Amino acid sequence: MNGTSEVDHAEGTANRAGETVVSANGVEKTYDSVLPFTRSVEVLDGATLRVERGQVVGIMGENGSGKSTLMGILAGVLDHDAGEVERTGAVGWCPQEPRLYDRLTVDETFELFGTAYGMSDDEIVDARAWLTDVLDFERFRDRQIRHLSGGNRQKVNLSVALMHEPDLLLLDEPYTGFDWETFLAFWDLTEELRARGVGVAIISHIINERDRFDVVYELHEGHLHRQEIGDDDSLSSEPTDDVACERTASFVDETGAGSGQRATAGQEESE
Amino acid sequence: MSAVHRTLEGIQASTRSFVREPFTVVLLVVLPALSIQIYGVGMGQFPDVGIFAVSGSVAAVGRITGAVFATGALAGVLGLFQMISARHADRRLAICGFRGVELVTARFATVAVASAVVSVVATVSLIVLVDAPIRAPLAAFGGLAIAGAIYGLLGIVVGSVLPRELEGSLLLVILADVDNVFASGLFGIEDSVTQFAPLAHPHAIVTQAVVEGSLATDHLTPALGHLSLFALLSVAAYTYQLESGGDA
Repeated sequence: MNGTSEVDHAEGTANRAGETVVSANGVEKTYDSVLPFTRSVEVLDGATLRVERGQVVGIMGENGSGKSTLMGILAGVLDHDAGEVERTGAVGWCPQEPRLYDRLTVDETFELFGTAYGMSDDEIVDARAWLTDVLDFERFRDRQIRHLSGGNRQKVNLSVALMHEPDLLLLDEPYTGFDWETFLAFWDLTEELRARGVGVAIISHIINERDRFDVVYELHEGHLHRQEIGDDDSLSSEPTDDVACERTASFVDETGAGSGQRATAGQEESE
Repeated sequence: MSAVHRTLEGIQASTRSFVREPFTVVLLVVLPALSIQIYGVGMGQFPDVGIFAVSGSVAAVGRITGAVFATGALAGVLGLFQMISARHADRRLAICGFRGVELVTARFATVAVASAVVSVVATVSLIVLVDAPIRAPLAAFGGLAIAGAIYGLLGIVVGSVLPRELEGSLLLVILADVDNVFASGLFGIEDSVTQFAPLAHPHAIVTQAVVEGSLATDHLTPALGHLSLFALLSVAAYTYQLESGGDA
């Protein structure tokens, strides 16, 4: 958004770089089954993670490894069975499946969620102008969500998470369905948010984008393995929760080679 | 940002979603008249030889039964679809700052408005299609409005615990049908049993309004009792699904 207050806000948050905006320590989550002939599924087993202001963190892992569950717990949408999650500041959550009202227009969606965030009418208008311009969907403002293409729906989904200028942004495969231009615009936006001091966590399948992250966590068998991008050539062999497990071979191969070609924008497989 | 502002914004959003489904609007207009006519013609085929325990003509009671069924089933299905279409988005809205009570109020206000609209359409259809003029149309509307509100709330309950369009709709329509058979009094089922059918008392209110032209005051309190019970059940069910992340 434009304006002096925005600059002040950006400087204020950027000055607190290094401050943790969300941390998870020893988080456990099991989906219990109450029905016969179905089994309980243990998804997270002592997962530990930290996101700081101005940091862009990638969360990767195989399909069904529990990335979306972890994101839901970090956002406060899902309960966890054990461990601790601490958040500071406002949270923006962009779920993998847009949780929007299909029969509202884009403008009405901004209005409704802006009201939920406690924004004034002017702030909502500013946020809408900023995001529809950056993500290039201004011409669809009067269209109902159900009549938008998957990519444009995802832009609205992302915008709802961003419109109140959160301190922490949790994005679950945010660029699904984006065209190439929008994909690049998304990363420009992410860099802008990083500069403002926003902590960003992104679930991603696009391995060859890993250099854009400051830190990458791989989720495997309920544990998170941390890697500082640029500090080391390979992933840490030890999980962050000190529980040994074998990492995903394909992930290590692809990151080691630095040429993973699993998917392109809009084509990655959904979890 | 005041709670009133957020609640009004929520009601406005829900109402827009409701009226923007053309098929719903068509059903709303067509189904009550169709149901009233089918029940009236169907029941009118039976010889009126005293086998039915009804206070008016069998055809008239058939039309009343059709109106109550259409109101209940339609309001129930609308309540169900409201819940199914909004359950995940409601959860996100709660995460973004809407309080539970504001969301509950917005959702229930919309279901109340939808039920009232169904009741108005059913009342008008009944006035047009029943043979003799209705002497107490407001009482008839009141009975249908209570029937619609009860099933609208039941739709919220079913939508919260069984969030599936096909199964939920079938359940509600079958429930409304069986309930209506109990409520109609056509087969002289023991009152000690039928009084617990949710539509029994609204049906009696509508019947007395149409046949005798008066308000069945003795059925008003139990009808409102049923309404209160379903209001509590639906608030509990909605709150549960909201807190469970819309994935209950």
